Amino acid sequence: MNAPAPRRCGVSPRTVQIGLAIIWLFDGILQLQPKMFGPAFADQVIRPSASGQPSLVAWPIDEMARLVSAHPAASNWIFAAVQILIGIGLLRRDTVRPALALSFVWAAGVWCFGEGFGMLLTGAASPLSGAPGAVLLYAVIGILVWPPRIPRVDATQMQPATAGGPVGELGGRVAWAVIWLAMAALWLFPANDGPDGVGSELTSAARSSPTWLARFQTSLAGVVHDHGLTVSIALALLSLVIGIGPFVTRRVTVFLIVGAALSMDYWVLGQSFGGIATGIATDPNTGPLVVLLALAMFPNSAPARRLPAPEPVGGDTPVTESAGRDRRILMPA
Amino acid sequence: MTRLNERLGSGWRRADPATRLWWSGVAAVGLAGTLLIGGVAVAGTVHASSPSARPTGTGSSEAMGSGPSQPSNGPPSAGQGPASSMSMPGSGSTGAMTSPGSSICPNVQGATVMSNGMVMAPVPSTPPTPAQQAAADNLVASVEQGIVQYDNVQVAEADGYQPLSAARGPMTHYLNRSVVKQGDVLDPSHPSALMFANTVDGPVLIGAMFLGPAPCQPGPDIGGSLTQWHAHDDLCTSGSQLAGKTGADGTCAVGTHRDTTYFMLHVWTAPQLAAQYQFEADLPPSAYTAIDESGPA
Repeated sequence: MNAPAPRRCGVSPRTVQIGLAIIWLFDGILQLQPKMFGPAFADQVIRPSASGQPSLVAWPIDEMARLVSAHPAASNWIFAAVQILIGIGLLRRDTVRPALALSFVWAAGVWCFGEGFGMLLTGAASPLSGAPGAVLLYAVIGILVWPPRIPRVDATQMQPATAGGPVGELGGRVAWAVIWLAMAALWLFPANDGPDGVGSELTSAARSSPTWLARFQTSLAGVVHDHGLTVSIALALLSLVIGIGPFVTRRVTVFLIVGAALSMDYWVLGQSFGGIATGIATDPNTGPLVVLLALAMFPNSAPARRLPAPEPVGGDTPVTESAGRDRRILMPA
Repeated sequence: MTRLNERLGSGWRRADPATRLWWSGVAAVGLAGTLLIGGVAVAGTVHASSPSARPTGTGSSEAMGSGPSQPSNGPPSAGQGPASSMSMPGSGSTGAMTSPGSSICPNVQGATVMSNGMVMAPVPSTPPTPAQQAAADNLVASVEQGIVQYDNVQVAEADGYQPLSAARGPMTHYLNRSVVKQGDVLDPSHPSALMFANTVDGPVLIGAMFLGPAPCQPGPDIGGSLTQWHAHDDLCTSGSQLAGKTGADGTCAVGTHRDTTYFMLHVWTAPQLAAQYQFEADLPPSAYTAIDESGPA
């Protein structure tokens, strides 16, 4: 008789899916703001993404803006409906997979046409303002917690939520590393490592902030004024450490917490809470998404117990084989 | 194919009502999106084949505000009054003079129509007098002091200044319709419009624009030849939005109509612009480079 499975006390894939669902629903609600039904959506949200882009990138953005401008209300209803459908779909177990699939397509479209490829090609993208793009993280997290048809991990094992996904725990760490290494590289872009690169970002963010935050952002911009290069290099190094840390030490948690905390700092100081008070915000920006990604990778705290002996090969239930710290996944035959 | 249909049918039969509802929603939204895109595409095709349709390229020159699909917006048109259409070309240069006199505002004696569609109000041909120079300097100083309160674009918007175009291209006009309606032509603290450069750091206040008291009426002469009022008569508008400029044949695209703006006077206050373009009617794209590179002054 098997011993009762210990209660999973960490973040499960389902929890992450629900977190993602809430954010998608929030996006849908933001899309229903009154301003979004007018020209503001095309003029102030979509078209600016084409600014400074190569013409090949600017063209589809302009076309999208033209499409939305032609029928702003109808377009916006569709935009909102898609995001709400994704959110609802993620909340229901039966529709998680199609909802995630839809979210991948939608995220790709939004990243291209709404966020201008995270403005990466303009040379002006900054992690402080949300680069490489929030919607990219939606897709990354969605992939990490995609529910496999056959569970790959023993439910009794205290593994991260990503461990059961198609790319596994290692895939999660790779995604984390790629994102943070990209941020490290972005900090060294000419637009960010200038004497007042960070200060300008903060001042710019202050324009969409409530007064109390704008005051703080402006003061901070004054503090870092002329020290932009130092700040950029420091943040690039910190991003580098956060990205590669999980590969060089077993204490993954430290890097996840520091990464999440730094992202929240960016979110408040550089993204002004995603500009959700402006009336034209379409998502909460990257801060909450990085936190969700960190949660998805968070190792669960309960100690792993000794596993029962593996079932005979060919059994229906896949198991993990524990060999010290090295756990290998045994796929069903 | 048959197998796929069977699988889909089987899946549909097994699904609970909520799941069916979700899938129906996805299908409905997908259909709506397809119809919308199709409708716009068809409309675009019809539009393109119309004799009065204008080219709508999206090259880099338009990104700098010189093309028909990348207009910056400006003051009210003469034909519709302050609360209706807004327009302003981003032609990037003042253009060559083509003909003296304007049939657009015949009441303005001595006006000159430029090749880029600007109608220049008459000014003395003599150099500015010391008094005119002092008056112009005084206007600049008072404008600089008056609009500093709108350095933050959010403050400007809260005070009634509304963007008249996308934050695309080098610069966007923010018009305050209530100021225009009040007809206070030269209030330096509440100009008719503000100009914000669209920089990588966000909107940067670079100047103010005053509008004449009514259509076809330039404002007061302040600094003689230094402060020349101008209007535009080659713009196509749709509702309150600028749709572009007229084509070579002088016509507008279907759904838009040609407008002439109020007379206007720019006061560029950004240090990067003030020295060279203080009251210039329009700026070349290269003028904005200094703003983009140096950000807020």
